[in-house]
Amino acid sequence: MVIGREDAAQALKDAARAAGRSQRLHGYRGASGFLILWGLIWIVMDVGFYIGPNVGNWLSLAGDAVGVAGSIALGVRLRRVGPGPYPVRSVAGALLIAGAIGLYGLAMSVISPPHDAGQAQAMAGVSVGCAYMVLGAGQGLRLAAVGFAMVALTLIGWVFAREYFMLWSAVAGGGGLVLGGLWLRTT
Amino acid sequence: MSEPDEIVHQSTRLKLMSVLNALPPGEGLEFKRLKAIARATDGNLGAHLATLEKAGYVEIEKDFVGKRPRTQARISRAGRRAYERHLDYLRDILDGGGKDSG
Repeated sequence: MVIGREDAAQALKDAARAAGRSQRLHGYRGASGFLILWGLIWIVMDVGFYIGPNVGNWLSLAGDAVGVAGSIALGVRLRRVGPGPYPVRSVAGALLIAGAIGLYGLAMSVISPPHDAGQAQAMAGVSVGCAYMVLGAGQGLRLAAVGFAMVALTLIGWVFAREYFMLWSAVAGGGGLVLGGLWLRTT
Repeated sequence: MSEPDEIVHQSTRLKLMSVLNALPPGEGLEFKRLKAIARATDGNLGAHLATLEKAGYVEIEKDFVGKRPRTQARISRAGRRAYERHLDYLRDILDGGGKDSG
């Protein structure tokens, strides 16, 4: 068997490309669980706020607790499976991201306090969507596409369906996350 | 210089091994997904996986999810070693600029 330099270079390039594709799709599967979990929580919260502010506030607290606990459980499971090209590779990394999101939310509520739950939810939808777009730059364009769809749908709902925005957000934001997660899972 | 591995070097098999080697240990891929990621055809994939299985480089597992049959492939330890050795061999060619015959 004779392998020349050109053949060797081409084979290494093909191998790297196939491995990259495999890692990217494996990363999508890892991310899909988080999207589906937070999408379902998003739907429950928005429906709660549509019913009334008190219901929404309580469901938000419960939803956040379930989301954080569920995310930790998903993260532990992914770490057990083995190293993968996930956005978060360590507990410290997860805390850093959670801290950054919390800090951003706190800063926005101080600098530009939302007038109502709808405005707060619209800002959350845009922020989370943009965060997915940023993560998508490193993790694969499909994650960025999910983020872009979230931002676009949130803005469309805010402009054209303000009266029913919470229900719109439940379908577009929460439903979008769930569908996005399923899309990544079946890719 | 290490030796080339003719089983791994064939282009479709090299892609299949690259895809499976990139997964965490013990993780397999369904036939359908493997075909899509490696961009292989049905007939091609079956034949090449059979060759890799015969060499002990991949393990094929057939089971059912509900009523749907599922075929999964995962790389074996011997397969990972063979794959890494072959990639080392290819890198050696680029580094050393030589050819090898076997």
